[in-house]
Amino acid sequence: MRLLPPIDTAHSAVPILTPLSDAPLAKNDSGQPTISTQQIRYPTVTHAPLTKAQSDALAVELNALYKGVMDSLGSDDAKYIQRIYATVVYSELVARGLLAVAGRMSSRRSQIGTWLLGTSMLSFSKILNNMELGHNVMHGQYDWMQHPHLNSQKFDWDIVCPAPLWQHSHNYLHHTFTNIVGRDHDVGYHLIRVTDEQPWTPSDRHNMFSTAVLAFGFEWAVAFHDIQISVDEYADSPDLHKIMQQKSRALFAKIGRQVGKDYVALPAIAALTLGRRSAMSTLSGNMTANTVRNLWTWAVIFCGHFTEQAHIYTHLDTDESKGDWYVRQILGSSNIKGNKWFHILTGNLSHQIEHHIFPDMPASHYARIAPQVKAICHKYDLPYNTGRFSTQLRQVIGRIHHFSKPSEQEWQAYQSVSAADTTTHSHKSTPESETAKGLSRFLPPVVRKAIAYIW
Amino acid sequence: MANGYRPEIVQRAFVYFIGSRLHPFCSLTTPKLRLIARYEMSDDLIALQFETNQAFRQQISKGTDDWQGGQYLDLRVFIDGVYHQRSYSIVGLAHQPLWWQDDAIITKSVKSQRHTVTIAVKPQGVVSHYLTRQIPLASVIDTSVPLGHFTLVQAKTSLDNREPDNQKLHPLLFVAGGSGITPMLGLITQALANGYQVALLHYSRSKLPHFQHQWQQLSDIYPTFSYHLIHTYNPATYLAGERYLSAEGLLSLNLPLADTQIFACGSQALLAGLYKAVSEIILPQGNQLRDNIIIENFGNALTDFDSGGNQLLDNTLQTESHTVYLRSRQRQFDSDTTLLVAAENAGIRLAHGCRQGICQLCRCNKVSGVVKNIQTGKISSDGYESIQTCINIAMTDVVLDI
Repeated sequence: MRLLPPIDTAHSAVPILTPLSDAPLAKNDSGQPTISTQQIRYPTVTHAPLTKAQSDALAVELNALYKGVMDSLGSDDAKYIQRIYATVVYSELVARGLLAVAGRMSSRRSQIGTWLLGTSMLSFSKILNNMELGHNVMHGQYDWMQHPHLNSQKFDWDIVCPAPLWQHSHNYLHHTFTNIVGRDHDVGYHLIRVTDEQPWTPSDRHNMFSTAVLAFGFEWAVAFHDIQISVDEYADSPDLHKIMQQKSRALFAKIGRQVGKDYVALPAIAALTLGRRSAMSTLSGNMTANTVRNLWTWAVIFCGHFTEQAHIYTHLDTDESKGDWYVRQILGSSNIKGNKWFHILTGNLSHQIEHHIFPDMPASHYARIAPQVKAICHKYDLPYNTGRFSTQLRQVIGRIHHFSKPSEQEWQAYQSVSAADTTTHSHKSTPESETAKGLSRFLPPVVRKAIAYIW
Repeated sequence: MANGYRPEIVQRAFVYFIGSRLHPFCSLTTPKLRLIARYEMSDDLIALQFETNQAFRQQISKGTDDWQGGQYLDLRVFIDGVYHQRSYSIVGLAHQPLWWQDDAIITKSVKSQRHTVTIAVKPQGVVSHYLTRQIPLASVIDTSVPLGHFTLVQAKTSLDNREPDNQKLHPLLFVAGGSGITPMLGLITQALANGYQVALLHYSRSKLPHFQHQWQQLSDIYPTFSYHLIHTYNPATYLAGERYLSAEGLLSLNLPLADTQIFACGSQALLAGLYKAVSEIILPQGNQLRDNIIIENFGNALTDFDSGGNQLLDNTLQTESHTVYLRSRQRQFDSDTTLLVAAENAGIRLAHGCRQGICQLCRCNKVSGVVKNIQTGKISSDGYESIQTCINIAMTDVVLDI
């Protein structure tokens, strides 16, 4: 293991600019252990990289590791998640108190100081609620506790996406079909081109800007993501309307609750009890904290699957074994290095690889098993993609930038097609946008779709 | 699928958390119990007396006055990081003095006695051992409000269906085995107070002097009450010379059996014996005596419950093996028995409580596949619906939304 070069160093230091073909790995895969030694940017996988025998052996080792941890779960883990919940609640209460009081401070300096402190604490609380608590509890990582509230069936987090919608788009689709173009809708979120498997369209030129919008409104994107997916998934189902109606109603009820709480009720209470300035400090603090949380979760989640060496799959292998599934999860995910608090704030999604192979293992165990997972990866010559936060984030932005531009062929193809003046192969289908009238034409198509399904 | 999803304006988890931090016992929303006394009734039956909190009293007074005789509580007990839920019958009625209050304290405790509830537990599994041996006095545990249909109201509706305009009270026969006696005290007391003619059969291995005392008191007050305590190892107590329940035994009670409502609570063996005995008794007008039976069929009556790993279900329910896929956890397992047991055999922990289809804790959504309910025999549809994993077996490959 030690003889192998460390994979942790930045791959992007000297980028190897190979011409991008559809499947650079397709020619030399089939069991050849060449993945880690060959640094192709933005790799795409078309066949299982390990032989069945190898991936079965890998599965045996990973299953044993999984079982070891799951058998050890007990009161320490129960205490841990209850302590996380307590931290979320207490920090939120203190933060909201500080924000309300900030408007009553006499001097401008103490006003700003209190507001900053309150906003940071609220951001911290919301991040913890979203990641280490919400994400992990809703994955069912603590269902073995049978806690009356902290379980995947009951828990709901402090963002606009209702728990059941997220569990469908994330727990099921994203974690099952990870990184398969067309199956895992988290590959680009229907918005951003992140692989050359997705055809280029002229609007992709603005992907850096779209990404920024997505990052600032990430919770909204997550919320409407499942609506967009489900419309396609259930398109042929006779229950389409019923299913979509339930989802839309759930979504708008949750949006009402979140917006009502952060932007109406709490500022109103502050206004009635402490005056107008307290209302303003509460409102602005809530807004800022939600935005900070959006940016943070966006950054962490994009670093998980869109780094330079995150492998994209072209299709789902029809006879994919558990071992192949493990391999796909490992190749498609990337970790972030950091200290204990960094890991907690990312909800341990900084151990994206461990999370993707064991999504229902309590996340606080990922750091402990990471060395073993890494050793197993090295043994089977699978790359274990990890790096510092800044490195990974730079790679993500680099990737989005790279794919916002067309390749030579695509540009030529576009030129010839645009002569005929059509954009038929748009992957962001907006056919009904022309029909929208009035104010609703300012809404994104998926929002219009969701509204249409309420009735 | 967002089936029935409603966001909570103020989250219950938050209210529960803050409430328990403000005061561990008092609560306006969560019914809770505090252990105040433990009494050894025999070597395998221990009574636990709890004080109830305000939420408990408020929530039961919403419906009827206090609880019905024969109802049970779902207790949620936290042991080694896991919340276990189990059902236990309530002993006696809300205002009923139990044996330990007979003498000196009876006058003094009239007020406090209104706020207590007593259960009797047979140590036979993780939770019952913890409750009977380990939990310290003054511990607080979460509970449901009193639940269940093993009550007089139920008896009335079931027999009156046959003769709707019948105003007279049916005689009642109570058949209990071992710790199955626990719901009977409240039921019988309530029945006698309402003027029913009552007979009790209790089959047990050990003597329960406290209960015996209680029965004696009742029969002193109500001449319509007769009781027969049958000890397995004492032939002198046998009914009609039979160690186990028999048709002759039932006939020797001199009850108008056709009109008698039978309440039964005990082990599977006792219930099987009861059904065998009643099948040997021919009633006039083609009525079946078995239709008169009401059973309490939850946890504490099943001897092999939660310590014996459900051999009972395992042995009787070997079916064809099908694959079950948990789509949110990306795990799959083969199931040739109930979904819950099969998952556990594969090392996957699923949410559960009673394991007998009563408590609904294991309820989850099925995405696709056909399952069969082993209690009702009902075969499900192939589509998306809510099922209980503890009482369903897979008839085809099944995908669950877990």
